[in-house]
Amino acid sequence: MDDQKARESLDWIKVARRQTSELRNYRESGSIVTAWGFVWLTGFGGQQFIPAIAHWLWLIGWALALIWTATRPRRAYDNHALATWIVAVGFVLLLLLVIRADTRTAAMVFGMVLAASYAVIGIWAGRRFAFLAAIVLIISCLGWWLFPQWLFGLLAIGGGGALIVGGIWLRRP
Amino acid sequence: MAALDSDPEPLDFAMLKAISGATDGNLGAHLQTLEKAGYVSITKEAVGGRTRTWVAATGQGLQAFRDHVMYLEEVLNLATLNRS
Repeated sequence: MDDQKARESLDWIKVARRQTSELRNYRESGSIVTAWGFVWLTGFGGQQFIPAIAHWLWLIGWALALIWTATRPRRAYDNHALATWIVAVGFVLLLLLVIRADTRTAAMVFGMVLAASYAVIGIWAGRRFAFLAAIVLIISCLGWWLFPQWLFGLLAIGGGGALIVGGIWLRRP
Repeated sequence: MAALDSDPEPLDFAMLKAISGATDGNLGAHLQTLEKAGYVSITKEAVGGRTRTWVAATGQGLQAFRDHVMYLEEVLNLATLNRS
């Protein structure tokens, strides 16, 4: 075997290893993304259509989704990743309290934070996450600037729907 | 084998197909050959009326693959030495 063929074979092995790791990440995080999509769907849907009970929908949704995330196979997330999410969300919540943001601003900020987080994950773990980030960001911006009266509904159907479909899509090889 | 070596858990047929870019028939034939050689083990699982095929590298298969990678690296190293 000449060195050119050996180099090609080693390059192919490297590509196959990277693809395997990416596909495994996609598959294992797919159900987590879908679970959080349902939280968005019910939470923001509640804020749009039945605001009186929206806070309960958020509370129950978050609790169930956190339990779901924490009980997935360990490789789908690690404690550092989960802790990073908790710190980021806690920081954003605190910031929203300090600036006394209204519910619309809070919703938009969460949309942007989620989009930014998926964009970063996309850079490190696979491009499909970056695609999800773009969808969530576009839908959030549409709701904020073009259809402000439907911001919550758009975040529910568009953002939540994108996460649900995205999670299913991530699971496909 | 590269995909199976990079993951300690078995991989399913669909994932191997996506990674290798091979057709069903082509991949199936390759896996059968590898199974006959003792390099992989294949198990089938019924999931909701469909059969899911899982493939795992055996110890012998992993050793053979790693030996092959070492051989490829040696070829490259030798070529580099000869040039300098």
